Amino acid sequence: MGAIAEALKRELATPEPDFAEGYAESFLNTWIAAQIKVLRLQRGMTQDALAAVLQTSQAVISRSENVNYSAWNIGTLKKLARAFEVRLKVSFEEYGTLPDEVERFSEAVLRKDKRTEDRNLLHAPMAQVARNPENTIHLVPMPKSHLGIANGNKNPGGDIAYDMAFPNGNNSYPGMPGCAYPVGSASRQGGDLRATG
Amino acid sequence: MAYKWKIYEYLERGESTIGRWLREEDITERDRGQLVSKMDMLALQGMDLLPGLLAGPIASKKKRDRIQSHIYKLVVHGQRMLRPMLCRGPVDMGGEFTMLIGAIEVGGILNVDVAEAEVRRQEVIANPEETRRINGRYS
Repeated sequence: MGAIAEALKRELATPEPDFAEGYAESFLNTWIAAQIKVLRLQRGMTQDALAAVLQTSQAVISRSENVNYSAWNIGTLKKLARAFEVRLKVSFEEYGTLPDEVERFSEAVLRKDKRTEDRNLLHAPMAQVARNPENTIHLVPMPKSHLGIANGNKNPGGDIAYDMAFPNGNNSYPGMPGCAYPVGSASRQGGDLRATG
Repeated sequence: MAYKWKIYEYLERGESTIGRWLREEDITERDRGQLVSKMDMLALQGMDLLPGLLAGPIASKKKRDRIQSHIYKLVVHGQRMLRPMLCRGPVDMGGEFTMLIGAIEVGGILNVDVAEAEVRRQEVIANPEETRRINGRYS
């Protein structure tokens, strides 16, 4: 624990509440203002762009990002949460948790992923697959001359094969060492799409 | 734990000038809580992450044509508008702030001229060991 947290633990324990209330309210304002700025920048938005989403003015956003602003209302914070694709959490806390919160205060702590990019929301099996580097799908741009064409045909009896482009197996691609590309084709047989060749 | 920024205090007759100012001005504990919170944030994050934490550079009232380009005020919106003045550095510009003098704003006007803060800043530059001390909270 750092010196700030140590000193704060003593100061917050004094019988009179005034110091603790002043400190906590100032820290709350600082936290909200700083997090609005951090989330906006994390999403690559200007103050004007965020103002447009909220149908307000840039001056209102600028004021919201000022650590001295204190006239928050839940409705505005909810709108900001929707704009940032995060949830708003309002919670009453014990004073004893404040020193650690103060010590941890940093841009990294304030950053939050938007819902659509929140890795914690993936289904568990999919999350494991995605975290395995062997299962990573690489999208590599390649010239047409490196592509081979598997001819399509329609087999008697209903099987349908499709024309598909595959990377030519004789070429290698930057960033993909040791990766071999088979030349082949695919056909639909009994409802399943199968690679052949 | 080492903080990003060290906060020093100018010594006025051997005593922290901010501590003396808080006592002489009879600053309330609620306002002192806000002030200490802002100083803690300054030590943790500096100026970049926190718009509005510092204001300035401040122009001198006595020498209106001259901006004291090194002096800022820490903004505290309390029961009274506390605006203690400070400077970045002045020894290590990338790692410290020095609290120079207490000030209060009334009707948009500071009760201390920034020129007084600049005099103290020059004293610190000339003799940092004798004219300031680090606040133990931020060592």
